[in-house]
Amino acid sequence: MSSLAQLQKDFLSCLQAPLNSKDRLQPSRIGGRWIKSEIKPNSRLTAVDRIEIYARQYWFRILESLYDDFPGLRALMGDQEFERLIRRYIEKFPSRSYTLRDFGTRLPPFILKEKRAYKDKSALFYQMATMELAQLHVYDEKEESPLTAKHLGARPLLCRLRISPHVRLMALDYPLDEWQLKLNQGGVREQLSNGVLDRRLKSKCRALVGAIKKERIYLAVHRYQFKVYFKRIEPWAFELLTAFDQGISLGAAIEKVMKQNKFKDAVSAASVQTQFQEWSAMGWISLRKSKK
Amino acid sequence: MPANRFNNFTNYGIGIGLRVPHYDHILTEKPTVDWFEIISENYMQEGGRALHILDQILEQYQVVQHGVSLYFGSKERLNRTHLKKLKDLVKRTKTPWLSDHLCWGSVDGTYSHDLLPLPYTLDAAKNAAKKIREVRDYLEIPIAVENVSSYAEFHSSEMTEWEFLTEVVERADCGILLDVNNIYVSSQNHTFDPRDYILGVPHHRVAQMHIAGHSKYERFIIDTHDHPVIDPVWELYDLAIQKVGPTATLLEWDASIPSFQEVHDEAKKATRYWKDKDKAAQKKKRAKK
Repeated sequence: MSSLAQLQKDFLSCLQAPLNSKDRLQPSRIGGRWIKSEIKPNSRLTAVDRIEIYARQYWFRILESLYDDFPGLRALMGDQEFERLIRRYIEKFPSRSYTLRDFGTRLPPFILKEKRAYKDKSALFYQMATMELAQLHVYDEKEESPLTAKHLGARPLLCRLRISPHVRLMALDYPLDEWQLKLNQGGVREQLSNGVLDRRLKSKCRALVGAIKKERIYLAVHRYQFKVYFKRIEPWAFELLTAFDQGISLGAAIEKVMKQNKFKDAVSAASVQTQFQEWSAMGWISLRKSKK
Repeated sequence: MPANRFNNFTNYGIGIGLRVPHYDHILTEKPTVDWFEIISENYMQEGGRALHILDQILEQYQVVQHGVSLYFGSKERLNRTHLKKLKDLVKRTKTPWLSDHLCWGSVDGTYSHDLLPLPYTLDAAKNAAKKIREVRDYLEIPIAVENVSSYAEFHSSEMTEWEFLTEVVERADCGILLDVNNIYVSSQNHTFDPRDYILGVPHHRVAQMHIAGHSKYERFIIDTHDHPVIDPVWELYDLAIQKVGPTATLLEWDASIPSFQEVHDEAKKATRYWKDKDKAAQKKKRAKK
């Protein structure tokens, strides 16, 4: 008999071991001898059967959560490829948080590591996963109150700002925002989250995937009145917001962006001011707390 | 017995779980409900809709927190960051007591997201009791531990499940959230008499009860919370109420969730057993006079 700590370690290892193609435990891979020495059988179930109930619950619960969180990625990859990816991911990165909300956090970098498997689609899959993760996170991140002149004080250009947690900035090589909105229409996204796509929606999904074309876009994924939205932003605005987030002062960030030749025709003092007012009103930016 | 130090001397009635599909109905129709139970982990964020809804619910209803991730039975230490977040929520909800499960679910910071069974040993009881005390001291509110449904038993167990539960709550000096459906499910899976369980626990420590539906398979039963309560579970509930007295009771319905009204109507069936018990108590009182 093992100590409580060892028993829990061994039990969890059994749950985390990949199931076979029929979603059954593979006792040979996890040390069936341990199960028999620790778990009592009864008249209806062997010791392995009993552990298998927990193992299946473990895998199905986490798979379901990833299906729910990444329907767009699933549509892009197709059912089989997506399932292969997330099963490998679950095996490689077991949950390190009390909530499954955080479980997909390491999925985008994991996709990049699997680059060889996806070849030229690697960036597309990575960006889709990152965008869906951003949607999940901004949904319940802290919201900052609108930034006012009072917050900025007498020397606003010296203030250091940051992007609020309920806003995520993204530079994408594909118009994934529009693509996802199309996917949402006609119930495709809902069915993707729930599990099985019917034949009509499957072909609609395939057509959507086939139509996706490269296009550089700058996007803010943000929450407004408890709903998550996409908002396209100008390249210079993206650069300005990114500069804020890097801790550069307001004045220096504006100067950095306005000095760039590529933004010469697009940006003016007036456009910066208009944007700044809009971001402040929506709580996108807040004062960076000074380190004491 | 219903109001005791383990439920902070409250006298709550019949509650239901606060679930997303019912948010709009509750906020617009404002139905009369004794109390709502929330899953703490669903509200331990910094912002967003869930917290916004919770704040509105708190303006009108009594709320009790129920958790799924303290894992009193895990051998690893409690996570202080997690406890801090939990305490922030406790301050927000002003929950009179807080419940979580007598189980384990994490090893070295890796989570199973399940309520896993413990071997019923003195070592496991001491470990769980110590952690329950730590949580209670940190959160500064009464703790009630819930018996879980289980599908596996250990060779190393030294006592019955109800003896183990008793050992833990006596050592921790805490309350019990007696889940009658879980007792039924485990009794079917492990072949024991569920009445022995109910008769065997320290009744004065019961702070709250749970009732729920489950799914029956050919060789075992799974605690799925997706059906109405079946008659054998109501019979056990009747026995529990006879022994404990009318106690704050909550119906769990977490999957295939029907309308608010259907869930609430199912929960209110529990009062049938309370009325009988109240009548019996009154009769006894009159006879004494």
